[in-house]
Amino acid sequence: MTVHYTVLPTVSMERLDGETIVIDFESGRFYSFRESAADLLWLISLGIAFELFESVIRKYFSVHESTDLSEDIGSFIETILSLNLIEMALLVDEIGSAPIANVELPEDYLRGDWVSPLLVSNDELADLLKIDPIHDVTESGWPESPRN
Amino acid sequence: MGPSMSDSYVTVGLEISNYALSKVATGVQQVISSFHNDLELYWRSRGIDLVPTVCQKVSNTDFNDVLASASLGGDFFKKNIVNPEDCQAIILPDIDNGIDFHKLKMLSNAKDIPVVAFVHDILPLLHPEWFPVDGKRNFQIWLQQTLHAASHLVVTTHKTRSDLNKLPWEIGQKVSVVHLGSRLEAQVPEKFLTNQISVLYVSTIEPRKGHDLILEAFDLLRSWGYDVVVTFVGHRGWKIDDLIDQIRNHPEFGSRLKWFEGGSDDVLRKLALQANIGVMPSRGEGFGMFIEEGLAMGLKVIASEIPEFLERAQPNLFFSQLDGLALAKSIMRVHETPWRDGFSPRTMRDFSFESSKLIESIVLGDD
Repeated sequence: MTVHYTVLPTVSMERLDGETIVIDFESGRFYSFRESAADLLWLISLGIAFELFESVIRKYFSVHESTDLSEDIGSFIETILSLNLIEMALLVDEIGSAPIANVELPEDYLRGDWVSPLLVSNDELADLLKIDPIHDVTESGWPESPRN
Repeated sequence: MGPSMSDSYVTVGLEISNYALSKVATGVQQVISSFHNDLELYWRSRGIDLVPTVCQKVSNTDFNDVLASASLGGDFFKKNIVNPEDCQAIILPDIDNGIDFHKLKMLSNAKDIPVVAFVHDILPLLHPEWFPVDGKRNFQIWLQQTLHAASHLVVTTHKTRSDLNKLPWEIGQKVSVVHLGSRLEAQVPEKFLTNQISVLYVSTIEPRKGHDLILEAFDLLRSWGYDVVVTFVGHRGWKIDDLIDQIRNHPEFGSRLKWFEGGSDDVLRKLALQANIGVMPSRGEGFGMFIEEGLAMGLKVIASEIPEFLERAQPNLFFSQLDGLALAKSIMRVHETPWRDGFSPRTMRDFSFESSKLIESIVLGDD
């Protein structure tokens, strides 16, 4: 049995240029995951077995010997599980467990040293998502709005 | 299978929250205005009732009050707002992160209601440097929500459809292309008594719009001894403080270089009668309505040779590379090129009619 994670059907997750925007339509919350966090979400979206995550990350990042990569990844998964963005599935067969050599992360940003994954979330949905994304931001940018 | 045209009225809701709150009719608002002006009566004769609808996540705004005092909307806003639950189809014509996309998705699933969303362009994703800080992120949030709720997408150029298809996302919706057109009636070009080159550009002032290239071409033409005047019409946008300074501090500002920050269609027509060349040197557009509007006003138009313009090649429309020298040479060449009679550019009525056919086929389940 292998552990996999899947994105919940009420969640939208799209990646562009090393950033993944996640929208939880049930809670009305949205999140931004950049770089290493976006890469972990990528692996989840591909249905890669959790046990392979660390190997794939080591293929793409320089991981300092003092870094507990397993802890970093595990802690991140726990966080997004607690946010009800993904759910765990136990699979009996190897479906989704592609050989590591075939697992590719998008080449949409420059990778180097491993940095613990972070997420940015915004809970003030009512105000923020009412902003016209083009015409209403101030010079200081989102999430500030002239209406605020 | 959707409702039949022989049944009682089919109610199509046009989501108008952002439009109703707008004070000034910029590009998208002009499209929405033309859409409901052209289609409301036409559709009524075909058994379709186009109504304003509002579907916001959280709002303390009383949209009935908003419609009553709205700057835009005209007679369309005298109609009662209809709840989205009472519509047989919903049209999302604008960018609005306040829309309750999940509610629309649930409604669409429960009642088989088509949700048709207009995606005018995805420039903030492709060129975030042209937009305010975090414009790209905000736009991506809107587009993801739209893709969650919409059953069909309508774009206004093949370029935008191509851009959507190139995103590393799975877009399951059918994407239809319907070109916009001119809101203005065609008028005969004015005959100039002198050899003056009079250039007109109608556009919001933003970094991508190419006003800097026009200034460069203007200075070159003057240095070559040409009698040339330039008129800008457009509100100021964002990230353009340096450009505004360049315009206001230009030695010819107020005489051969003019800038009107706004203007009605009548004012535009009068300015067009004083011009002989329209320019559209934009670096990127969702559509660029000034091409068709310039042609309608009797101007030969020079546009930058970008895909979204090239796909609308037509008589009296010329193309230039994106630099001041090339634009100056194009202006000289086009000035000597006679106007070709016998051709009228596409109109917003053409857009509305094609859109109506598309939406009817979607509503009736023929799509």
